[in-house]
Amino acid sequence: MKQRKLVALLAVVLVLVLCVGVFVACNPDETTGPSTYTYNSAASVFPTNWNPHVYQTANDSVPLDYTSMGFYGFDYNDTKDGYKLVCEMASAFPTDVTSQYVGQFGIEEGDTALAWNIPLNMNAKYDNGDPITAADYVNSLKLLLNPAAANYRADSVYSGNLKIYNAELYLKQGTTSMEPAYKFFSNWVETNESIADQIVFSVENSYLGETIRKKGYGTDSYLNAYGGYNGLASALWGLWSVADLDALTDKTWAEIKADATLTETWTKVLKKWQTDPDEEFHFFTTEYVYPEMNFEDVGIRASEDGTSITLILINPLEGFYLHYALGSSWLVHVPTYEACMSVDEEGVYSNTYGTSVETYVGYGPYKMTFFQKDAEMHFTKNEHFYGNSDTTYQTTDINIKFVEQASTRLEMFLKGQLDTYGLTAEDMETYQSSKYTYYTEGDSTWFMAFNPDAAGLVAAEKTANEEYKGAKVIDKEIITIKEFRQAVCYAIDRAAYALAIDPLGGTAKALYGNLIVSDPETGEAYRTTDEAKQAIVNFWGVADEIGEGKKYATIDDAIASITGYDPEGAKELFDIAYDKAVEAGYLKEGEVVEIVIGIPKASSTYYSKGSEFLAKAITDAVKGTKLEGKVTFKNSGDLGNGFADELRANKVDMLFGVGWTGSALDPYGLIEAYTSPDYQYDPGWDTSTAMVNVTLDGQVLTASALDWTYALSGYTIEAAVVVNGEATEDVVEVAAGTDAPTAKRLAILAAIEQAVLEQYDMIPLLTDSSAALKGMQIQYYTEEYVFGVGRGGLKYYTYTMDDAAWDAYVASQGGTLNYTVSE
Amino acid sequence: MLKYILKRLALALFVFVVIMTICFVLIKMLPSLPPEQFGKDAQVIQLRREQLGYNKPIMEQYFIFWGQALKGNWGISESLYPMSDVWDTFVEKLPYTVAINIYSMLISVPIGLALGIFAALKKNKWQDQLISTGVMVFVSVPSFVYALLIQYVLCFKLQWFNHTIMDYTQGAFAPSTFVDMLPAVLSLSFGTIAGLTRYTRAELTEVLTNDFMLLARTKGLTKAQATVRHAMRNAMVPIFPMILGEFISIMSGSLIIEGIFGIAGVGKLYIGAVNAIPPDYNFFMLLSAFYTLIGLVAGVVIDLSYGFIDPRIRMGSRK
Repeated sequence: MKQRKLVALLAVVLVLVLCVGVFVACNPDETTGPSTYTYNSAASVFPTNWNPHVYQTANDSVPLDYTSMGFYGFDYNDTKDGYKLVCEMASAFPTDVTSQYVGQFGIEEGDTALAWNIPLNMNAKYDNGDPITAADYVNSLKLLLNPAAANYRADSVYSGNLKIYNAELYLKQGTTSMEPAYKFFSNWVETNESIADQIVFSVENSYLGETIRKKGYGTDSYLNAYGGYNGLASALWGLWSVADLDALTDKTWAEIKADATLTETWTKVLKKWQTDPDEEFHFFTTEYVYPEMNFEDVGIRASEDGTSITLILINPLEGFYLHYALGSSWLVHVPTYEACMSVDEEGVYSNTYGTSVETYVGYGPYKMTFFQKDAEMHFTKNEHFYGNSDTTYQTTDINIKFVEQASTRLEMFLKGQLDTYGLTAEDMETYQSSKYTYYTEGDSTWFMAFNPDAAGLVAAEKTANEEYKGAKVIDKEIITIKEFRQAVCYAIDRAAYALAIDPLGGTAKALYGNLIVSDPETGEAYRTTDEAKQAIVNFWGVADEIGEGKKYATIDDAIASITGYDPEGAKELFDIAYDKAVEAGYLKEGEVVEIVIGIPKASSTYYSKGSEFLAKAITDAVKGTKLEGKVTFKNSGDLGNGFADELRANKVDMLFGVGWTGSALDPYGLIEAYTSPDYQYDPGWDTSTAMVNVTLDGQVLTASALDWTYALSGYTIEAAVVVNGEATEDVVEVAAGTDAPTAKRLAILAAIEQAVLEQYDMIPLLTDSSAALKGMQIQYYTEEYVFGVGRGGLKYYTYTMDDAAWDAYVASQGGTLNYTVSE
Repeated sequence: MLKYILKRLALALFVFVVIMTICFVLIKMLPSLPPEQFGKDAQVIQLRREQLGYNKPIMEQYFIFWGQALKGNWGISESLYPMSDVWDTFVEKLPYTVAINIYSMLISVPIGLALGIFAALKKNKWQDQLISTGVMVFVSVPSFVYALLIQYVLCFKLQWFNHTIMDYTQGAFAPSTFVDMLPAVLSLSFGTIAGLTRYTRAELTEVLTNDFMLLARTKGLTKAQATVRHAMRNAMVPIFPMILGEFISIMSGSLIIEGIFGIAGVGKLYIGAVNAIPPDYNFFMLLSAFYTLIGLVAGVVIDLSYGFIDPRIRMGSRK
């Protein structure tokens, strides 16, 4: 009986507790105060670490967007149709003080744009009220480059345009690496005796290994297949026996010289390779130890009065690109940062700065007040922010929630709980014509990529035929035939492709989309320039159809007409490719072409639908041609982030949905991604020998695609003068770095773009864009999207009503708002 | 008994070490290429990996792992929460997972038992058939389907609840958090309620037909007294371990529900640790240890619980 009473009592208590909980939760204390304007949004991925020295992704940087500022930032221009750079944490634009540092930091008389003095905004304070001085910037940089930390973003001050003197060497001090000997030594005849103990024979870590990796053969699969670097080098160049290379490997030059047999082997190996002096170094590696270095040797100085800093750079940088590079900074709150540092017993450094409210101090327009991992974060106006005014930053609070499902975000948006919602493909039918829908074009182009490396494709073909016990059934060499790749380019109906996998995407016609800016000083879009337009019409073969009485009245009409889809042209090209493949002995009766499509993530519908679409499109396109029924497709397994390496090594034959992004203001730098073996998806295209003609000042010059790329990076190259279509022995020195006239850089860039496109290794498919619904509570500053400032951002957003009125409005609408209104 | 407990614990420890070793080897075998980035100095990433000891021989890494884990140092996150101590992050998120699971159990167990008893007592009547049909539906449909339905109907259409926890500042066990968690709790509970109902009904139906129940009634006990004092006690022997088992399955089931309702628990961490590029070794090992320990401890507790529920059962006895 007692037990029953006890159980009954417990049940009553449980029910009471639940009821009280629900009552309390449903009746929070209601207080009245000044009007609040809260910007509510949701994210499907939450930041994990917004330490300015460590953060890795765009999601991680969200708190920094609200709580920090760069030296300079974007704002609307006077007509609000473009951007301009304005001072933020700096009080004025930098002044060139290079002359004051002659004799230091490698600066010589006459040098310019290497040392810049930046006057600081002395009204800027941390959000806890602490003043920000020049010493904070210096100490923050020291922490960024802390060798013990190996901070993820340490390279931000030496790997981009902004290269602070000795920053890289300070970071890497004390570390060792095996480097190719040719980088450190020269003049074999004079130096080999003195360095005999310092250089070691090694294919892997020498110039040879470097070349193998640049060609894309450095992956485990290749190394395993060929028994390591020596086997690979032997197969790749066909000059040496593996036994000879093995005999010499890991022997110092002194050891080789001291042994008659080794000397004989060495002589044999070298003889087959050497064409120029000093190529002996190509076979050797040396241990390089980054020397110890004091922070005083790094190129940053604080003024004595703490009101300015001076940056000393390795390469000259000036104008827009200098100001843009200073658009973010490495500034942290040093005492908080240092309190967050720790090293465990194993010597592993960790730092919790920027992982919670308690471990972070910002200095931007908002202050973080709450952060729960993968759940919620709050910001309120920073009372110490120098830019507070009555006309900007009306938003008083920011509330960001973690909501993984798009359907949930949409429901919350319709309930008035969010102020913006990024539309998905499924939503477009309902909201595409809503007056609350805003479309924004992105700066990325997504490609289909091939790697037409003959040796790699033969190897892949051999592997693919293994299952047929010696018989050749599968051909891949046809991919080396340009007409085949060109036919594939014409075979894709890009509009239908977009509809199938990315309804917001647009037809891509070139390497760069409409948002890429070629002249950042004026904001001129690259695609609007004559050079860029000409590259497009040349590539798509409509250049001769423009003009009075021709098919297209203007070049713009011609470009507008390009869809990229020409099934008849594709069929003709497939037939040509077939004939060429048969003639070259690639394709014989009974053989089929097998294209393995590389899939980074098989569970993604983007890749499953995309590969299905492309395979069907090409299969349909070859119908009625000599290749009908002879082109087959197969999807790879999950490749993860290694997808590019798989194509480089010809382990897969085709990728799609790939491309490079993030350099909307520097297409000249980004072109390196398509021409440098360090980044190319198609290292089978040797850009160091692929000649490109460029017309500069009325003179036609020719140089390799790689050399022109170097010219755009500021290096001086030699270009041969072309007369009557032939390169002559006359050479002209060309440099087209950031200080060169824009017209010169444009001409080179457009020529390289066309050369890359005409290779048909990187076939443009779609440009990216997005669409989002804007909540009724907020108003954008401009209807049009402006690079750098968007539609005003929180600085300029205004509100139609405060939070209390908004809640009442939503309730008056029955708790659900109608965003389908189209007028 | 003590000897039996020690034996079970030793066995559990052995299994724990074996599972952790397998996990360690498997996670280290996953590809660990960082994403390619234009203009990024890959050497910086390698320097950090060198510091974390990821370039050491795998056996050396294995012994370092155990050496540190035994001291309570589970290491630093590389990918999910870079530079953060994985234990700290785990402890910060654990209360939400615990809360949602406890609430779910508090709701599921009484309802599941009550429905099971009711169905057993009304065997083959319309009430039993109705409950059994409902049970079949809820057992068959995965919890994330209820989750989406509940979210649409209760949170969006009827607007009785919020879609997610609207105010995390209150903490995991605050009343407002409880209310915001209710849709997620309900989603987790349906399957458990259905399972418990079915099991209770089956066990109780069997017990109710035993001879001793007839004896109890002939002794003069009412039906309720006979059911509670005799039938339930006997039926609870297999049901109680099942409740513990359900708790473990809810812990793993909440992995998906936490994602749907945006609850900041540890569920997402486990998948995230494997999917991260490169994989977050330390998070994976900590969570593997956590879930393995829950399973092993629960197994031991279930075995021992038989003895407490039914004193006739003697553990480890040779006779």
